[in-house]
Amino acid sequence: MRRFCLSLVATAFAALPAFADTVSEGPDRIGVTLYHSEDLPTEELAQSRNPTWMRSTGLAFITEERTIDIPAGPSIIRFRGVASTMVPQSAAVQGLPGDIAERNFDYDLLSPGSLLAKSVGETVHLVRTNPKTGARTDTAAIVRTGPNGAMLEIDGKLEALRCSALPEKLVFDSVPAGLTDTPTLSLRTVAPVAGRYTVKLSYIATALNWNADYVARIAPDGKTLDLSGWITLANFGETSFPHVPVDVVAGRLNVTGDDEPADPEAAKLATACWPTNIDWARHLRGEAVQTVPMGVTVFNREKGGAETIVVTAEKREIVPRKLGDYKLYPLPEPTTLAAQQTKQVQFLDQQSIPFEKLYTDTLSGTSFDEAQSDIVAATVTLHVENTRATGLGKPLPGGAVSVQAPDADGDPVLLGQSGILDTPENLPVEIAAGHAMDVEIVRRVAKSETTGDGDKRRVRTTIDIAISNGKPEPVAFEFSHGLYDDWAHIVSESVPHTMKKNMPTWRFAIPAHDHVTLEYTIEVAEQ
Amino acid sequence: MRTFLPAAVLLGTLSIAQAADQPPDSQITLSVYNNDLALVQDIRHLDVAAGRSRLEFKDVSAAIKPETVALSAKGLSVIEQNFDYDLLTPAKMMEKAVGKQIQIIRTNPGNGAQTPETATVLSVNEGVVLKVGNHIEVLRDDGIPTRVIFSSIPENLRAQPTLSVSVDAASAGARDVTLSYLTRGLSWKADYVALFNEKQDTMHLQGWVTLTNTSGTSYRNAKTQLIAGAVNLTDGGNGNWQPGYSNYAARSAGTGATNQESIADYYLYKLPERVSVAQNQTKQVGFLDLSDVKTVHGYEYRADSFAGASEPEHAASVLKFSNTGAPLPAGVARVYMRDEAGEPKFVGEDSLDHTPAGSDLAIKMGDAFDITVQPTLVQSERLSKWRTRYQMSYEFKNASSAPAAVDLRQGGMWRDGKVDDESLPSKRIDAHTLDWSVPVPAGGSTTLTFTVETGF
Repeated sequence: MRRFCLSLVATAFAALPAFADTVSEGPDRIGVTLYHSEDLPTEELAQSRNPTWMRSTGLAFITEERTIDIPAGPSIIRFRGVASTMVPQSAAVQGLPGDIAERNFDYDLLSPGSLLAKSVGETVHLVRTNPKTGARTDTAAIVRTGPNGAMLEIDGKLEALRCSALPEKLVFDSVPAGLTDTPTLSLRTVAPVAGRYTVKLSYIATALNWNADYVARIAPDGKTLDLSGWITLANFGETSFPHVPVDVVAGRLNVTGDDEPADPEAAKLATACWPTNIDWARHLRGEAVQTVPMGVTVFNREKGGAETIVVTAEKREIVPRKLGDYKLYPLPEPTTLAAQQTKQVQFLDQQSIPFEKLYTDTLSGTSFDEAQSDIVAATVTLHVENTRATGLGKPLPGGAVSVQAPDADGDPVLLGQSGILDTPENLPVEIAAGHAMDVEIVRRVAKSETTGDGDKRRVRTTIDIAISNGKPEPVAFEFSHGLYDDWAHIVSESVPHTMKKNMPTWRFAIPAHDHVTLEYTIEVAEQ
Repeated sequence: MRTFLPAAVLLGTLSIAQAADQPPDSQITLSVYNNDLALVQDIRHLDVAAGRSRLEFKDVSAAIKPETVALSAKGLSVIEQNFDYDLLTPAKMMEKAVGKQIQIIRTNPGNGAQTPETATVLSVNEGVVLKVGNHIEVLRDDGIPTRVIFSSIPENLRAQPTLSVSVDAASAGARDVTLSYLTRGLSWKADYVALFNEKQDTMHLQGWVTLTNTSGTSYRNAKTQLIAGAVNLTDGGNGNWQPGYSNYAARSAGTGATNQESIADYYLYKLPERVSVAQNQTKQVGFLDLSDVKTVHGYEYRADSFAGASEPEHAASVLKFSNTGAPLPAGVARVYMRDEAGEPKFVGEDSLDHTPAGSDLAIKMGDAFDITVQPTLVQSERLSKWRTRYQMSYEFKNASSAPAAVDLRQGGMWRDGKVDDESLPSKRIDAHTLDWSVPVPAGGSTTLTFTVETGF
């Protein structure tokens, strides 16, 4: 037999300068700024169906102020208690003496598995209890393998952990270096003199999001509406922010998609023992013995959705400030963003805003069958001028609008829900609010003819529109036709159109119990 | 200010020092690329017996590419090498013990007495079959707690990734052995922090190198160099190195007239100190700190074709600057601005590609809330088989209290396309793109109209 000479190498390292370890347990002050990074229904924010995905969406900027005593010379400063969804590469630190040589984000969390993983090669205590006599034995053991099934070396022999059915446990002398029970950012710095420093740490975190939602209540006279706006704050992370000042930012930031939170790995402890539970019955039935692959246990840390919804009934309006090209809404008082929580704060409460009821109908495309005809009900749109003259004149963050109106008895009825986009001052707001049965449109293809051949081929289609107003009052009506074809244009029309929302649009004022007609012809070049 | 001077090196050439010149330490040098790749050079001081022997290198990367291993030392020739990563677990221990003797210790549940016995493992297959004395039995079949003691770890079961190399040494003695290999799981990118001062139109730009290690192994006290520019690899979908510039960020490629050198399209940054790169750790090291960088804050709206939009859209808020100093390796630039209380707040981020010095760059921060554009295709008509006339209108509105200039970039022109009519003069910035600078008064609006004839 050939003898191999096994050279075991003791790895030696160049001497490092001694680093003093400074631990900052937590911030003195925290500020949270939430951005609207994802268009999600508020319902989804309040009760997410996909909490794992929600954890990596959303965008917030966290600022912390900490007081830290730093010794002179090189030291490692550990910022404990940062948000678990921190994007480590976004961290910025101000107020530290000296240069920051490097910074490390440790994202191993303390768990039975990580404790064992970090103890490979170390000596621990194996404590066994005799189940009958209660006698305890304490044996020194070297951990040879980690959490995927631990092997221990005891007096040069090897035993597996927890494969004997005897009560046994490992006892560690201390928490291995670098293992933290809370997400920790570590910085290496060199301070010229020792001292107490106020350090500002800021970073981007995910799992925080906000939405704007509006309720429009139409007054009994049908001429004005009251508009209230609510901010819904959602925290899908594992970190709570108790009693912190919160700002929300309206407007869309550019993001690169690289802002992934570091995932704290709570390593699980598996035993991976040899088979001990023998299914004799199955063997005796003569079933084929199969080798079962070792299963991968999916360890689901996530909790399903938000647990609490808090509505703070504050009737206050928040005046937005300027932040670059965005709008910043400072919440009037500090609030608690608890982990897995959703809460709402009012930011807009504007009474008696005049609006115009606009009845609309839209036709799309350029391909019609001859003599095609249909009858449809008009869509009702509430048109609000977002100007100071109407009492509004405010930036309106995009969100869902619920429209309510009183019925004949004065009880509120939901007319419908629609969405608005980020709307600056002076841009009108149009809110869809259901259909009107008594404003009816008859759309008919009157004529369709083809001329020419090849690239000279043209199809001309004439469309007849008749709009009847069954209401006892006059209505404003707009008919639009979205052509969506570069080779289509209107060649003739009974009433001149204007372009609205990128569509040729005809506007009419229809008297009570009356009707109007429109005829126009589209020419389409066909391949 | 902390700036690392990129050193010009001939990549791929390993310097193999004489044993006498090396200190008696394990010395690790990492050359980390952008695209999940690193070259590890690991010098270990080993005592080698004369003749044939096996050397074991523990703690090599678990994501090693074994076919790239090179080993060299004075008077040493390699016979064969193996990379073992059959993980040691209790179940594997038992499987490898088939045919061998183990010790079992039963604990009597009645009186707690422990009885040691020697057993031979016959099979491990949905149960461990043992031969104890003259009997055959199944381990723990009676439910009695039974400890199993193994005398040693089988040769090819490893607690950590290990490379073993069979060598033939001319003579016995200690010497430095240089191991080098390529590995996955190590990567780096740049992260930039730009604090933008709107009033002075300047910014403070800091650059950090972000090094990530998911290779399964920690590298302690490693001399580290970072190579900007992706290398071409034959074995994967990492793509070819294309010296192009990003969609948004780089506006004009610089001439690279700096005091830095590069070889074969790569820039190399050496970290000034040795660093420890732990498994699963994100490490950042500062490499750039520039204050008072001149910026131009502007607005931009890009239209790729002659189409309208059903709702007004927001113009992009863009920060433009020139990097006069150093080449900037690819990464994410995050922009911060001070709010009314003087606190810096995040206002958006953009990706930068590898950018030579002297380039003009633009960072898109986000959508300007108050500056909107309503694009409308007023009319279009097919003129001939390959030609269409488009009449466009762009209504710009500015709800802010300051006048704004919006840069409209209209793409979709064909090479032979021409402008028939326009309400403001355009610039053709490339074959396919027209550019207008549209002034929009505070609280007001400006409508730009134009008619073009172009292909399709």
